[in-house]
Amino acid sequence: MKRPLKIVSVLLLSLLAMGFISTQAFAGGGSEEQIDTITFWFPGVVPRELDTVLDEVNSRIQADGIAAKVVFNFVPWADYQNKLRAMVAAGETYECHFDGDWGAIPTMAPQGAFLAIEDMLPKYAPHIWETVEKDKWEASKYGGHIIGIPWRWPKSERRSVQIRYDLYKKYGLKNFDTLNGDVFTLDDYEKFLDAMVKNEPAMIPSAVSQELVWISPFAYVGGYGSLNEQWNIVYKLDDPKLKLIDFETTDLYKDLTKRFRRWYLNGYFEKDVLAQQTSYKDLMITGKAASFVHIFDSENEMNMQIKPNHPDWEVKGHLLRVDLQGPLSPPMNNILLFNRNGAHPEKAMRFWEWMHLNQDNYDLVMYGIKGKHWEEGPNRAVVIPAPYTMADSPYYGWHGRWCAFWPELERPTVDDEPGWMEKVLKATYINDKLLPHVGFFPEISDVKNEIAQRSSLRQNVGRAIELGAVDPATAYNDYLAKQKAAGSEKILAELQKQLDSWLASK
Amino acid sequence: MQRPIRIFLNEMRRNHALYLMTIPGIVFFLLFNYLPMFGIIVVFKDFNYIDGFFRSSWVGFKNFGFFFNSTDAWTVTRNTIVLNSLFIFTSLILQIGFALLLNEISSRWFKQTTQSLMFFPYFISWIIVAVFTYNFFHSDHGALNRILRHFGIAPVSWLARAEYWTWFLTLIYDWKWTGFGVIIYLAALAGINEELYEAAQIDGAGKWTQISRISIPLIIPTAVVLTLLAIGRIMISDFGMIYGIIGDNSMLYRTTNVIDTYVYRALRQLGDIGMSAAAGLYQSVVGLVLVLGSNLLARRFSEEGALF
Repeated sequence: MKRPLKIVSVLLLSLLAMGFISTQAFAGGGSEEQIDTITFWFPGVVPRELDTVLDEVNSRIQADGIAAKVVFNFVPWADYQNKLRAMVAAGETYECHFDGDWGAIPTMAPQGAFLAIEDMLPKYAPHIWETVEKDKWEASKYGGHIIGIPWRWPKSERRSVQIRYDLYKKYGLKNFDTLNGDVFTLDDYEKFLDAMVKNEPAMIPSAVSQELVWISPFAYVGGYGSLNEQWNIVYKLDDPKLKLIDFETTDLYKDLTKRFRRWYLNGYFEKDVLAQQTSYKDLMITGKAASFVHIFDSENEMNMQIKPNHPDWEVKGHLLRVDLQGPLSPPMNNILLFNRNGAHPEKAMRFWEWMHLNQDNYDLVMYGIKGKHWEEGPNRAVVIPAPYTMADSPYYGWHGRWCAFWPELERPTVDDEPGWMEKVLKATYINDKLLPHVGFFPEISDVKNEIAQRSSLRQNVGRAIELGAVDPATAYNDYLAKQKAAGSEKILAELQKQLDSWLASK
Repeated sequence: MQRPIRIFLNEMRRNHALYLMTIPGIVFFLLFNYLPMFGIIVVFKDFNYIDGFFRSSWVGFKNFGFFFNSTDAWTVTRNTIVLNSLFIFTSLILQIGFALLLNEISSRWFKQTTQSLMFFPYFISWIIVAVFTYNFFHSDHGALNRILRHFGIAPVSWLARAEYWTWFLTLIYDWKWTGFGVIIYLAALAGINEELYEAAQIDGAGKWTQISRISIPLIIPTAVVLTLLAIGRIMISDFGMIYGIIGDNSMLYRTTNVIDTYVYRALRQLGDIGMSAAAGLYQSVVGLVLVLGSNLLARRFSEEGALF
């Protein structure tokens, strides 16, 4: 009995083997291209309908010949930079993440975290390669290699004063049309602040919270370009050699600290300005603040948030000193970066190319499924179907999407001010240029101790001076002495050496 | 005479079930406590993502330079030790004090209700506490200044006066942790033999004598162990508490900036792993020295209370 059983077993196994071989043969002599997961990381909250939209994205990209499954992961803003560093340090094989030159790029790029993609772009993303302007590709390089795909959105870093315009008109202050060349100065701003102190005592005249970078963004008002706002290092815009200067040593800094001390004493800043943890934007939205100083784009963002609950409120951005050259936002301000350890960077690039090939693909990824998550309104605007609004949409508005912005594809929303995109373009190009140091990322390992101490001193001592909470007449000299003792001159010397070398190579 | 290894093996054979049960715990500690210790080499390296742990270049003690060369090294070290010492000793006194008081209460309902209410702050996140604190101490609309104004006293800019915050942070810490500690000391008190109290009563001892001659001496070993463990962590502050409440308010740094918050604020832009690990190693080494020293001291006064 045992022998027949053996024979039957061998026959069955043979049949199985033949069956396996034949399925492979019917498949065309080899397996289909494997569907690989390609992972993107973004900051912020996961959209509630993300899976629904990505299911549709994946079915369309696979139908269009990209054998990939797209995954979007989100990490809260507070943890985002550290998460990126930890993932790269751990050798994780995700493909791409969103970031900017304000984020982890200055520290991650010198440590070799990013893939050089200039050879891949013409092959896997020819449309993107041809459409993104050449100067933007140049400004997306580190160490001579393109490390990511930048956004193409016009944006200026020039400061604008975002004012509660309904209050501005109520107290009869002079109207300024800064988009058409009217020059609005800090002295003009002070008139508004004074009116708020006198007439709206419950409101914070000028909101500053802990995350708002102060004083260094005003560098252009004195004809300076800011090399790094965190380190407070600048150069004169009319200096072809870009000689680096500690911003604290300039007359502009001294004047500004005196002015902001006056603001503090006059009540233009709240007394506990250094302790304010609520975001300046939230203070404005809730009506606790009458103004803040930030980029021009904040105007539209504020009106979108405020108008649904307070239709009589209005926020208007007054560009500061349009008579002076301001800094354009560098292309790396919002960029999609490629992880050096990424498993399938070519498929990630093909997906990004697919997304930018036509309006339908772009709409799907950026706004969701048409008819379900959004509708098209007048002037191509995005309308969120009831019962949702822009503020609580189950998909629209995910953070990090800005790195994908192309002006031809990006849609306004129905909540945007009419003609908002035209306004932004006008504000951006009114008198702004890319700073001459854009594309320069210094290698700081030889001065990292000194830079850490400089940042620490700025945080511990400088910020109180810059916001007027301490009298610069008594604190300024001591602050300068501490910065010098902490090695500020060594930092300048090292960075100047590298900057000179970079300029020479251009 | 049997060799020690043989004695140990016999012991394992006799109680093999018990030793098997320790394996998950041992594996856990090996994987998550001992194995990661090799990461200490990052302190002595100029770490970068390309070369990783093993191929990044050695830089000796350079990563310690940021902290020890800074003008604030002494201030933040002092603040760390002063704040944590206050936290340890004030909470010790409050926890033992409240445990002794609660232990004397005969009403079970009152005892349990008080215990629950005291324990409640333990569950409140430091972020919520930070909001309470900000709104309580705010110069213009804070509750404290409103009370002062009501009584005709000039308001104070509490959020700009560093000299008060050593005590404010101590009060807040005690408010949060007293309930938790009371439970531990109540458990220790519950373990004291009732016959001791009965014998003392028969001998004519009053309540205070019973507490001072029986309760306190018998919970000292528990107090010593907990205090020693706390001293071992004296160089490591409750970052969530201090950073949550103080945030980036530099007006208060003079008395509240501790090593953890100092390093975080200074290095969060740079993101340098080696430098921040160096600060962490410094904290751990000093903590180890302190706990060994405290343990030696504890052995002199209370052999049972010492950790080892």
